[in-house]
Amino acid sequence: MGPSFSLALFPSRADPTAPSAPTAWVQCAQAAEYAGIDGLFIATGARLLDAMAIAASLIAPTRRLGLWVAVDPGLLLPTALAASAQSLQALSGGRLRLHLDPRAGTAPCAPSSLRLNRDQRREWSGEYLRILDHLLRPDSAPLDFDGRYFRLERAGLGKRALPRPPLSLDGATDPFRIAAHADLCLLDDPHPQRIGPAIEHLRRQAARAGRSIAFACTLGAIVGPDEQQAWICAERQWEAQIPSAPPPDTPPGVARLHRDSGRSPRRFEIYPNLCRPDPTGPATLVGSPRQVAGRLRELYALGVEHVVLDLYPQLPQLLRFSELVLPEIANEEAKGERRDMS
Amino acid sequence: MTCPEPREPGIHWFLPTNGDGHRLTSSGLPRPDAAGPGERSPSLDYLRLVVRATEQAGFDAIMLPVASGLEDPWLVAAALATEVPRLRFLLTHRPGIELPDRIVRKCATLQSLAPGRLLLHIVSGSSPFEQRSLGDHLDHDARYARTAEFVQLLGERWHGRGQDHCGRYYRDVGPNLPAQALPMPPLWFGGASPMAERIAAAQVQVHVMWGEPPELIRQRVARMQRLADGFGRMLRFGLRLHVFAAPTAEQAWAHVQRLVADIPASVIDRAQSQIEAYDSVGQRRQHRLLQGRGDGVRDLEVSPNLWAGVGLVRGGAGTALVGSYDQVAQRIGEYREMGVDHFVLSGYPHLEQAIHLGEHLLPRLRQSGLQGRHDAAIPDSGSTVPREWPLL
Repeated sequence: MGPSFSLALFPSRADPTAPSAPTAWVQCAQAAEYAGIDGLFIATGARLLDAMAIAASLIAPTRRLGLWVAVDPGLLLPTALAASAQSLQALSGGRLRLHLDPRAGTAPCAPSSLRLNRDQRREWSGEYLRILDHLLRPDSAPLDFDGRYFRLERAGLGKRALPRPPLSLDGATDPFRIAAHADLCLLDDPHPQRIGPAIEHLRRQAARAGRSIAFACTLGAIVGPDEQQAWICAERQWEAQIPSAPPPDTPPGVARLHRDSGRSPRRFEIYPNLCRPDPTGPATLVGSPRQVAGRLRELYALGVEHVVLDLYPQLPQLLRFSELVLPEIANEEAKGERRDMS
Repeated sequence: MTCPEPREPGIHWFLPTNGDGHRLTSSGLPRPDAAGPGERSPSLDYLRLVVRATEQAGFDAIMLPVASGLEDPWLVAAALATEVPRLRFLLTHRPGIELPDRIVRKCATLQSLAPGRLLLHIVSGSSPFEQRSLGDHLDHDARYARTAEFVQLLGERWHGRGQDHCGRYYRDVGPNLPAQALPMPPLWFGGASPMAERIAAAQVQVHVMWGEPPELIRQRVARMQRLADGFGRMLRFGLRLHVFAAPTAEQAWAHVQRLVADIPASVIDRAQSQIEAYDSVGQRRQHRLLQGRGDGVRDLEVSPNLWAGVGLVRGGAGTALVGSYDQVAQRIGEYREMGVDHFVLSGYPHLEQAIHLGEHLLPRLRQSGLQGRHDAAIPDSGSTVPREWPLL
């Protein structure tokens, strides 16, 4: 077995001069389905459009593609989010996975937009998650909640008997909350030597709460016919994407690194075939199909059951991944089974 | 505010996003027998049929309501907007559960999917029971004050301003969004209290009312036009009505009679006690139409061809135009003459009635100049061949 994959989509605000953005979204979704990818991860952010509405627009053009939708919880009440999630779950026939992205941006949606300090924000998040978790469960009773930030009377009106959409939380969330509420945790750092212990730690905490969690991470992938060509491709790609001078607010150490090292992206290789030139972006697997498949299986063995693929250029890399890497993963699995049987 | 004026007057339909069927209780709230035989659930497949029929029939826009237990209007619109090239989507939104920034974002998303086809219908909540279940504890006047602030802030956030907004209900709204490339969608607005009327006159393009006898509508329109003049603004008006129309008035009334006979008294009583608890001036006005009337179906005809019986079992829009196609068209024409430009109609089931009224009512309205924009061929409305009313 290997991880399941979701293709990342960043639906930026439509540029009036560019070709239709919705066409691009449909293309992305249909390409993912064609390529045998399990789902689409629709990101959220201040400069991005509404992920839930985009997911809804992709229901009809696709047959079975999972819709992993990121939401900024600060922008709406948990009751509203639960209701919208239910609606999307109903309309899509059960394809929704809901991700809460607390870094997406703004102040919490409190009755008078309170400015919260860190502890207060944690308390607000805790109440939010308790309410959301409860309302997403189809069999839960109407909720009376009397908290500091939310006060509900018989919430869950109009809840229907639908399967609960898995709740996915960002790895930066309080581990206690992840253990208590997450079905899936999206971790930022995929370095095998660090992600293994992180997963173990969260698994133990969840087990103490009587729960089990699955884990995911985001990865780019630059696949070449062999390792050397893959790195050449990576260098060409990042040359275009990474500016020659670091942005003005880069920490001095990183800026010095940028200046002092050459142009090769291998200087950002944090682990064999794993490269992270931009710390705010995803780590990227760079290598031959066998190498990339190998790293994915390694991560899978450590507990990463779901991978969000952040690919650029999207369609060519997607097809390459599908036609070269996925069969390698399947091959290794078959070899493994034969070994087990012999 | 730089919102564009809505285009020509129009006839619109309604999308029943908590289900549909042949009965008066088949759509809207409360919905006692959602799972009964012949009841249709609001699946995407069914809603798509209604939306396509609405487009094909020649309606201008389709209204999507919002309430607990109904499918999310934004999601339904996003799912279906690209499947119909012309139909506009009138989405209902209740301030208080989402920040304006999220509405800006959702509008921008819908505008990507359907450029120029988004209309926003602002309402302020009516059931305290439902509001408290969402976590909203404001009373009527506070809700409308919040709505006023929301509409103002929405306009500012739309144009890339408003970061320093420090109001009673919204504050510290976050970093500035970039100004939107497309104009803000036209704003429609529902609310019948004096506060609501002032907000409508000051801030929105179209004020929507539930159907009432012509004299009451005339008074409201006149009052609100004076208010709007005071603000130096142009305000347009819309009316929300159900329709039971047939080739003859007798057939239409007979149909309505059968619909009412179908409802157990217990269902009516339960619905009435729920509706009485609503904190809404508009709802009280609808409810008052039922008071002091006899038990017969025609007793609820509160003005020629205006029947208040839907309000026996349904919160929200409780009145219907009942009569022959010509009578219904005439009544609509009368409202038109007193200044109502938009009509949001519905019927049960919404699929078949969209087709039915598209064929028989819309051509009559077009002929009288109410709808000007359509390419659809006008059928021979002078035909005297008697036809089976398709639904009987």
